[in-house]
Amino acid sequence: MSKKITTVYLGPQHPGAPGNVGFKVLIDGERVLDIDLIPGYLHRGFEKMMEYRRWDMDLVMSARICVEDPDHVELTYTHAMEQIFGIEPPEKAQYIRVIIAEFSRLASHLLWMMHFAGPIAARYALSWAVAAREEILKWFDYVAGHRIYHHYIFPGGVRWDIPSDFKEKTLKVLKIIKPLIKDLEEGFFKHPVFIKRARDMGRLKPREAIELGATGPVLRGSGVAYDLRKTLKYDAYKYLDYEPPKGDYGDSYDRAMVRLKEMYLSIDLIEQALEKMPYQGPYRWRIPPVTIPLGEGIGRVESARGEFVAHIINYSSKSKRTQTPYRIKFRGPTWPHLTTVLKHIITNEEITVADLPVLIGSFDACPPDIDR
Amino acid sequence: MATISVDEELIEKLPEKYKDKVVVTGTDTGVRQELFIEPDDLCGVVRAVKEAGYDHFLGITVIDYPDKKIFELVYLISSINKNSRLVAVRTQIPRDKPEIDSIHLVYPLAYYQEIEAYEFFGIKFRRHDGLRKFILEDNWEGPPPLRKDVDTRKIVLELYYGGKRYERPIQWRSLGGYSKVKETGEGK
Repeated sequence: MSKKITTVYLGPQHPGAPGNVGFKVLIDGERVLDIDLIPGYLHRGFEKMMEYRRWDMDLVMSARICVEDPDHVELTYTHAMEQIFGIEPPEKAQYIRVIIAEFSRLASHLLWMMHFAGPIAARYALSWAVAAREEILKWFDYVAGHRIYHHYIFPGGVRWDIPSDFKEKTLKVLKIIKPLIKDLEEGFFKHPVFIKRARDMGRLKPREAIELGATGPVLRGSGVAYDLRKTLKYDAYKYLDYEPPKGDYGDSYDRAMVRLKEMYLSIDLIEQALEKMPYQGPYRWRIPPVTIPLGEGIGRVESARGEFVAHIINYSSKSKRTQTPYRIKFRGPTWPHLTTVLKHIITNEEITVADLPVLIGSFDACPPDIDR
Repeated sequence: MATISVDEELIEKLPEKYKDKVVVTGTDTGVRQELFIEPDDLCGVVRAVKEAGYDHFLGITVIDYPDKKIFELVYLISSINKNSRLVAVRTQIPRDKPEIDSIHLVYPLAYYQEIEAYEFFGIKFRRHDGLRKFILEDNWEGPPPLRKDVDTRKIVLELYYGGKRYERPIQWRSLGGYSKVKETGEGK
């Protein structure tokens, strides 16, 4: 039997590719030997565009960086801006932010079923997940006025006050999506086909995960209990009582199960926040319009995929307040997952072509945050 | 609000030259220990920072200052075990000779962050074997685009409009911006 090593291009149009990103795959028969990322299909030059626009326009633009989980990107930008302004949001706004962020995480995890259950051919699972996500999008429409990009989180608090029937409506949405997620667990996460495809595949040991820069569910799936919500205690997370889930073996199955447990955790956190939040009081501090002071801020947030960082520097040679920030840098969680981590797993383990979509799916990649 | 003091272990590992130079700044999620260093000492300092338990590399922020004629590089390094503490190692290199040592042997993720700094700012990293266009491949011909003296409007006009002025269908600015439009009712 002769051996022939071939190069194959996977994506960005391939259904197994996680969105707008390509891979150059080196294969020997069925076995994948090496993989290289080809980014840049969704490069829109946000970091340059933001230097030309007013800071509040940049906030609206920042949400476009990750379509599936826009609120966490807004939250990082907002945290960094608040440090430059030197303000802290009122307590009510902190709770609203937690609820918005957790719903965003929930919607993102539900959409992830499309990338993960699709390649395993479990079409039913992704239609259930999208049905549950639809309820969340309707809820966002009711609170913020938009379905996908909400622009609801704003430096100094949140943009609008919550409606008067906020608590009842939110609890109703949770009541609808909870059985749908339960169905997903029973119908997909306990299914023998899923377990067979994901178990013992793509193992990432804790030491390597830290070394290679993995964050979020990928790191927690490897058994490292690292969660910025718990360590930095930003916004109202400091008032809530919870324990982030983690896996123990670090394979694709563990990463998927961490996400499933996080869905339940998000529901629990929203319920806790609804119970504890003050419904009276201000929802936003007024900040001076148009211009921003000079300074530097770093926003770090645990997004649905991992650590999202926004580093904003405002500088002017005339040392006057400016309208546009001098430089903004975003660090998305998908960077390490699709470069160092993926390369490490493929070079150290026997991965076949059929495993590849499941493996890439288990990272829940959002390629726009590589390109920006 | 998170408050931290300077980490004793970090001070212990750092080279003698920088032992008393660590400053704690920032508020909220951006509380960090800052350290200004000479560009030639980068590898030693970064290795010391890693030995002190700061194992989680976040990224490199490059800031271009044409008026000071420098590039400032900020290496953001966090820690998994130390409650996600943040260290910002800052260094400045001259704008006309942008060269610095690569740290991808210390932090593997820096390999890709350095490629990004190379393609967007034109900074050369010594001992880096894969400096190339990565995100901008097949998309961009011209100077490194995130430098401050690159005017994207001018380049776009040259590329797509043959250097002529782009004529807008409605002269928005001549209407006086938002306020005038509301009064006259135009532009709806």
